Amino acid sequence: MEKNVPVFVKIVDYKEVLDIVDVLKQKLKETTQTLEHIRELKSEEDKELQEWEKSITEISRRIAFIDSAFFENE
Amino acid sequence: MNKKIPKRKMELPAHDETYFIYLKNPLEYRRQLLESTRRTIHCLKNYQRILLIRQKKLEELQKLKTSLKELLYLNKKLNEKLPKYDKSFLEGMKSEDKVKPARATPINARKPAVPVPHRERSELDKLEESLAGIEKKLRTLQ
Repeated sequence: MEKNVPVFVKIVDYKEVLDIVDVLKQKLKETTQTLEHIRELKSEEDKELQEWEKSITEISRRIAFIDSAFFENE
Repeated sequence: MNKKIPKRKMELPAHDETYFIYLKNPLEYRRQLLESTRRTIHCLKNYQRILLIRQKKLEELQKLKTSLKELLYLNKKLNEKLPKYDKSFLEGMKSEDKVKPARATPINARKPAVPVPHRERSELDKLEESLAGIEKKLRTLQ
């Protein structure tokens, strides 16, 4: 295949190409926004999981306190 | 979570209804227990929130998949609009080559599609196939 040879596109096709590129740009913008939204949801989920972990640790600590108080009583 | 509830040191006596244990600070135990309950309920609420977030995330992923499919379609359309060879023109070129000296090959020659044996193909197979095709085209451009 010869490289760097000028390409000629029919004017009708050229207009269609421009339209397609416009739609492509719009779609890409939408996709970027969706991705950003997914990233936000992921970080929200991570935050909730961290909160969960913190709660479980705290519950463990409190139960351990009650347990030791009940069973190490003099 | 590394913190574990420690094992009890004291063994419980055999069941006896007259056995009582003195608690030094009952209010503090009650408080701790209530706090634990509060936290547990908080965890359950948290679980519901996580379920909602995951549901939203699934919806967004579905949207992303649709958008990517649309992008793929638009790319294909764009590719179609670019000048390409007519198959019969190419064949004519080959027969002329035998008689005449070699001519410059047209700029955007495309190889005819390789016939694929008919079989059930998964979505992944199709994607891999089109990916291989595109990579091949890219190599010819380099």
